[in-house]
Amino acid sequence: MMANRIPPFVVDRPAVATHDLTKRWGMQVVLDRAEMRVPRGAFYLLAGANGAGKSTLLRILMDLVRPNAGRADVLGIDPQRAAATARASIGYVPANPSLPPNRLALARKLEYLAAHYMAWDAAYATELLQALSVPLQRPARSSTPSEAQRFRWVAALAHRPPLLLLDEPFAGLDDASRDTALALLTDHLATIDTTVILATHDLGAAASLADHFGILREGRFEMQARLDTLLEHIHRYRVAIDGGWQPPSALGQATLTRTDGEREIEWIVWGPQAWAAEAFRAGGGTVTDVETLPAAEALRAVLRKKGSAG
Amino acid sequence: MNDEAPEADVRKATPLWIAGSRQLTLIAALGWQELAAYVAFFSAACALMASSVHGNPVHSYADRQIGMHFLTLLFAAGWPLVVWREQSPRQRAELESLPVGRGRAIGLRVGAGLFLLLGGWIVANCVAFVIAATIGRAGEFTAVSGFAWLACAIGAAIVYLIGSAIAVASESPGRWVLALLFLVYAPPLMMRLPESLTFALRPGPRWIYDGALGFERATRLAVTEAQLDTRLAEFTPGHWLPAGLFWLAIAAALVGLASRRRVDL
Amino acid sequence: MKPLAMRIDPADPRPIYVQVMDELRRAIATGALAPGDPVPSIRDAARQLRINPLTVKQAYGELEREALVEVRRGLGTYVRANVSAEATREVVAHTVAERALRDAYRNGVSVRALLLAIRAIARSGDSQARSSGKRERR
Repeated sequence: MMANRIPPFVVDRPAVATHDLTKRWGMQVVLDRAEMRVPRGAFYLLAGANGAGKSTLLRILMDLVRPNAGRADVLGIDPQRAAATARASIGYVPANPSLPPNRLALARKLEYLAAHYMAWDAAYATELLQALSVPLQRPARSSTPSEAQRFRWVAALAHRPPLLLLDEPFAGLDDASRDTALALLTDHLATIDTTVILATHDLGAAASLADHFGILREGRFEMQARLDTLLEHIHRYRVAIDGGWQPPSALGQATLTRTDGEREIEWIVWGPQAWAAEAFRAGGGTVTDVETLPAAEALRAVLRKKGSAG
Repeated sequence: MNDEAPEADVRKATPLWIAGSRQLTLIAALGWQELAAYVAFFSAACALMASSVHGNPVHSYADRQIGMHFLTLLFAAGWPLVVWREQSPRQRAELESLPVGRGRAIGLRVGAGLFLLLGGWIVANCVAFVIAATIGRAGEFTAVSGFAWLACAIGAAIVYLIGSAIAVASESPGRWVLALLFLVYAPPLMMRLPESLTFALRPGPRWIYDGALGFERATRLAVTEAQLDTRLAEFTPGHWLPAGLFWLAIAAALVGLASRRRVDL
Repeated sequence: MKPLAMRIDPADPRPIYVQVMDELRRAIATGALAPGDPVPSIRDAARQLRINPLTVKQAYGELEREALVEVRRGLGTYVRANVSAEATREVVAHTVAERALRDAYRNGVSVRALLLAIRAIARSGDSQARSSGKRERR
């Protein structure tokens, strides 16, 4: 019902698209005919609860996992058919990155990776390494998870790929490194035409960067749209009520969160402002304040709402 | 953000020669110590044999040195474990995130390992030759038929490839490699026993091991012949070449099959 | 290009591009950016604020529409020479007033009460400023 109020998300020439993508692990269905559309040049936030299928979807795009049905389209390439070609254009930061526990120094490992990418920019890589304080001389087996993640950041950005797939890339980083990574990412976006898919729970960082989003719930995309479209459709209403207050049924489905007090209620409602205001009035309340939500909060409200069948 | 940016360049997968050479340097960096140990053991054993053979015109140094093949087979079986250390199917995600086709990446790594194995074997034999020269048996060494050397190389390659198939497909390849080693060494030892199992086996299944296309011919015939003090100069390829090629093809196919195993992470 | 101190608040209900526009107007109103001055490049601003460069681009586009800045191809974005800090201050004053009024309404404070409070604080602030020798802005 909610999704009906957003204009349908049609993207021609998407950078990334999935068609009927299905993946099962044993009895559990992780992706259920998922249809993702990511426009070229977009910064797409892939949101959803833990285990919603975000990581699996990204891995399918990298051809690290094969779907049970459906196909994906990455920059015009089918990863199942030409994975190597697709990966040459992708920078991937995996969730829970680890490095093979051998005694090779990270510098050697980076050299090894760098040789595989024709577009590798060594000067840029050095810049990134220094900014993120990656300990190059340390052997891989004694590097911490944070160092491993920072290493992966460098490996992903240094060859300036047209597509970045970031899977919880901030999760293992301390505050300072996270901030540095954000700065590097914005810098990267400013200098290179990139499409980014960011799968994360860290809505704070994501909301300042994303211009598109997709919510994955139970293996399907409940909603995909431009972020500003979402913000136009969601408002917080503060309504003064009295004894004669009748919660309007019209708003029932469209209410994302409610805080009900004795004399004042605060609801986050999805839908046109005039329509919601009228409904409150009809219920006997007086709207004292209408506010747009900051992006992170809007996303959180949508994510929290359960059973909002698209 | 560059308004004047060119149309997104179509990027290509890593050229094979680059991917291959990188695998080579990586494995060399990771496994040079084991390779060096093999060469050292081989050389030490040759030196020991040289001292036992020296001054004894009846016994042949070259024949015994060919017998070192058993050590090479041992190393060839274990070397895939080094090549694929920390690269169990579950840990292989990184190797597979590179812009190299999955099958190709595995094949290149196996190939690089084979290259290093044979390289190490050649170096070891060069050392053996030098040792032979110091006791004046160099001529004996060079008289060995080229086919004998080839038989050793192919035998080692067969065992290595089967070991690689195991390492590629299995989460804990160690125990399966031990099984492989048992297959290589135990039956010939058992053949020495009159009541051994292999004599009891009906002729039918035994051809896989004993027959003209048998596994034993392919991998260890050169050794057997040497230990029987046969004149290696009369070593005929027809005796073992079919077996060698047959098992080489099987081993390569096993690697291909093993590489098809995908583990969802 | 002289660095400009800008900040955006992710928790602010204003869309980010509006916040960026407000920051630039603030800079012009306070004289941190003079007419003809270069505005921080999209890249620098995005990096500093940790936001998507396209958002900065959107903000600059809107400001260009309001004739506050002009984009010179290949050179960057500049404050228009004919921009008056005074006029900008008026615009900013409206924005601040709007915000104050909303806040007041939300807190049940009437317009009149708000005006009284503003005058009272301004007066005491003036006397403080005079005693510490600061110049008052008109």
